[in-house]
Amino acid sequence: MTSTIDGPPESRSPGISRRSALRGLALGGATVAVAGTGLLSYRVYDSAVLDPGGGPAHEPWREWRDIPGPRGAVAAAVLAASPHNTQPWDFVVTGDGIDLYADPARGTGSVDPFDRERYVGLGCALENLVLGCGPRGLRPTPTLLPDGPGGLRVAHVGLAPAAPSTDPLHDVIDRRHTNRGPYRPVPVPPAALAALAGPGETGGNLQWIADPGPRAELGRLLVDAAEALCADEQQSLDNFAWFRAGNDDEQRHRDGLVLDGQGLGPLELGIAKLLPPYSRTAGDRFWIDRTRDVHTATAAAYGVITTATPDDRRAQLEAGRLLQRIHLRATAAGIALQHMNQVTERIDREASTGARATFAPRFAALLPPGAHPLLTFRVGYPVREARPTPRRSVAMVTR
Amino acid sequence: MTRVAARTGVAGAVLLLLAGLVQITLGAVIPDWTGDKLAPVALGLLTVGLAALALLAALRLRRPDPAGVRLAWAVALLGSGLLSLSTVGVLSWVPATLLTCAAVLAVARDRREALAAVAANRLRVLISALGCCQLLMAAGAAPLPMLVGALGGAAMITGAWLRTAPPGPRIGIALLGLLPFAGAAWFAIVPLLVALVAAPLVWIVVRRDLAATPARVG
Repeated sequence: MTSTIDGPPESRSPGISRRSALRGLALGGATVAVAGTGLLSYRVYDSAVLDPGGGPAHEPWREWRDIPGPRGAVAAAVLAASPHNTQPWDFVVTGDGIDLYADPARGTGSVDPFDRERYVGLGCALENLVLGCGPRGLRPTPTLLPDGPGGLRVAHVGLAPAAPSTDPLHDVIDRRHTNRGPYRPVPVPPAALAALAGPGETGGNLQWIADPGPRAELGRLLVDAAEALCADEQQSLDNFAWFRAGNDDEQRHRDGLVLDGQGLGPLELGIAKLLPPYSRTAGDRFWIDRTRDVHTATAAAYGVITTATPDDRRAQLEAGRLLQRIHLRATAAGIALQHMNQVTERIDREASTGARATFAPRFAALLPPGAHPLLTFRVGYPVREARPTPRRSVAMVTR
Repeated sequence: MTRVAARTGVAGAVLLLLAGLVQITLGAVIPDWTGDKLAPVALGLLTVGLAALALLAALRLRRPDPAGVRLAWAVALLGSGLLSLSTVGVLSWVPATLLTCAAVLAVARDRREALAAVAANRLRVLISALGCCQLLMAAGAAPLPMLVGALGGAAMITGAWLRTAPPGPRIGIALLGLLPFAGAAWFAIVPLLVALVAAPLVWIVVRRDLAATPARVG
């Protein structure tokens, strides 16, 4: 310091300018860091990262129990599972009951060319509708396809006054979510699997694939189907059409696939929400990777609902009702469930385009002779709870 | 120009106050006008608070304060206007425009002094900006992180400008600004980033202020 003070001006100036430069650099760096943090803060605000499950798109999960009468039953129905969360339903509350209609605009195109999954989703909604009646003092009498298999009215639920009743499945309707996250590496006991189907179930035959060999083979089939679906541009486009990229999209549409429903860990989810929206190809890659590394890698067992008549609308509706009951029982038992229908989607795609059947024989080899697969799902004990996905309100789906 | 800035600010603040009252009373009835908010009453009350702040700032503009103080009031006008855009929907467009104009007019006359005031308090301005980031994130959060973030953001901004407070309260306020929100909202990553960026700035400012404060004797 002494030499700097005492030295000639020429020798002092470089030291001072260096310090000034460093100071300026530090200040500039701090300013850039603050500006960048500001932009990211806006992203946190805009993406509602700190309010998961918030906003009007999630209100139906919070308010369904408090809605009385037939509209309350509809409030239970809108929380049902549906393919790609398309919610392909409309309801009409009449003097003597509730009519359930298919909404033809809410399809997944080439992903579900024969509308099988759509009718399964309608069956899921019908099951929740029926379950929602008892606690509201209503006795339901469902009639499937009152206008025939081609009619848009897929069910009429007649309602009569009754003493309010309770049902354990009704009580877990708002806890049932598709869990796409990792499952713990512990098997689900056979007795627990058997209990999911319930005694005297109708609506299709439920096959469990839990042994390591067949389970691994079905896992490979699911990954192959995911890759084939993404390689098929039309199916990839139709898949991606239901992906909601951000909170605005989610709150506006109140349907579709969202980041919150992908089973990501808190940190992964935070990063995913801060990043720009996925492109279709990046989304496809993400799904294939997750199918291989998480979904199939951690599945404790697969369930397959089969039927002898997969093209029959009534069978599809009944299978949907069965699927919803299985999912509700699994929820009550602390077992996670994820719908995984890419193999049947590829089977239908190959059939609808006249392509050579590559997936049907491989799936048939894993099932009893003559059983046609309609729905596939995996089960296991979850690492983390699933999050709710957006829903349209009762007012939005009731005519 | 000062008088025009003050009058424009008062007009903007009064309109914002009316917008807040409309949000409280009719927010759920006319959602297309009020931004279709989930909690119109709470946001209406917040807007009334913003309007009160804007009104105070506009009235204080009439006083012959130093450039740095006038700049602070201009920032209050601007902040109230911009925040109201996310609280009362379309109803905020006119008052937010008036408040922004008032803020610009307020600093236009003595912009050199204002810039000099900013330059002399660069670190405090940066810390305040980070506090605003925290407030912004809190505004879109669930109730608990919203409360923690609002308190933390306010603490960060207040702490940055408390030059003469004793060390204990200053350090306490700094920690309140830095830690709870980062802990409550770590999964969003950015709250952690705010704390990491703010911590060295806060440390430098507090150390400088304490060094500049004359030691108490006896």
